[in-house]
Amino acid sequence: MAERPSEQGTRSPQPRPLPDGDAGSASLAGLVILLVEDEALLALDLRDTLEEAGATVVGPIVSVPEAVRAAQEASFDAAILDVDLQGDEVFPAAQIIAGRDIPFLFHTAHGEASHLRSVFADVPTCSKPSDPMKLLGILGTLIRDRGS
Amino acid sequence: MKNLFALTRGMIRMAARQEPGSADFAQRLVERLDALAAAHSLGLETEGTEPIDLAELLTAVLQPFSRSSGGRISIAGPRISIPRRMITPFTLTIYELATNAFKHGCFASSGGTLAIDWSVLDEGAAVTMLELRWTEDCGAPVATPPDSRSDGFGQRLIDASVAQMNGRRSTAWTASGLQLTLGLPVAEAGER
Repeated sequence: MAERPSEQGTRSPQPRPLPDGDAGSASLAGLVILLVEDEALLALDLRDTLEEAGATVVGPIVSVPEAVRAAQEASFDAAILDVDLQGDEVFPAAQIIAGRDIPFLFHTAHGEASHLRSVFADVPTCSKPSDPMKLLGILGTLIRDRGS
Repeated sequence: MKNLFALTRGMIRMAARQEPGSADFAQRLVERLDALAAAHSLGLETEGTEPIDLAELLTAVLQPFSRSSGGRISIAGPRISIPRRMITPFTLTIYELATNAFKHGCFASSGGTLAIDWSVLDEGAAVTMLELRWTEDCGAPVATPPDSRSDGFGQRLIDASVAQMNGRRSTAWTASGLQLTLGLPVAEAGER
């Protein structure tokens, strides 16, 4: 079950130092990231990486119904969406997040899905396996672009 | 798939040779990888999307532990299959539990036993539940405080893997050791 961020969800947690001196491009200090990923190992790695970059993580969320609920109710600055969740596709949640004008990216093992090309043509897609630091860099860019 | 596991394994071992002090780390990583490879190779022996026999899966994952435990692990339960999508989280869960048993639990000293047994519960018509019990008997009263048993990563991996399977876990400590129960939905009448 996702922990919802409090009203002060964007309050900055104490940023921890990054492992590889990549802080400039990947700092997400003070941001809240919705993490939808059903593969346990990947979810843990991504959550740790996000938290090391200073972000607060909502999730990891492992099913489409939970993802839809979080997309509707949680407050967050950006989202990482695994496309295939236990055989279901995350798109209903993606629609809601897009409707709220919150930036997100797809994280998927099958990046060529036609739905990704057509409906979500503007959404960045990261193919698995991916480097979590690269994912963070893209997230940071998305958030900065939206903020400007 | 098998080749990919072999490649990854080789890469880890080659890299570890170049990094002083990483041999133990690499060995633990390779062992975890081998458990996953053994589990997935069961899936490769049968066609398509057929579910995997639970007893076979447990035997494959626990094989390295069985060898060094001298027959102190017992596996018993009715014939049941679990869906392929559960192979990875199930394997990681069982592997972590077994590792803990050897590092901190009943297999850390001689004389302990581990019994894994299960039953199938039909919760209504919609979902078939597997209830799997992991019972360690140290043969003597145990003093291990539950919190110190598992490192943070192992515990988090188990919790995340159980969540991935939409399962639940309950852990109890008896006088003789750990008693853990996993409740896992193994077959649903139509995906949600």
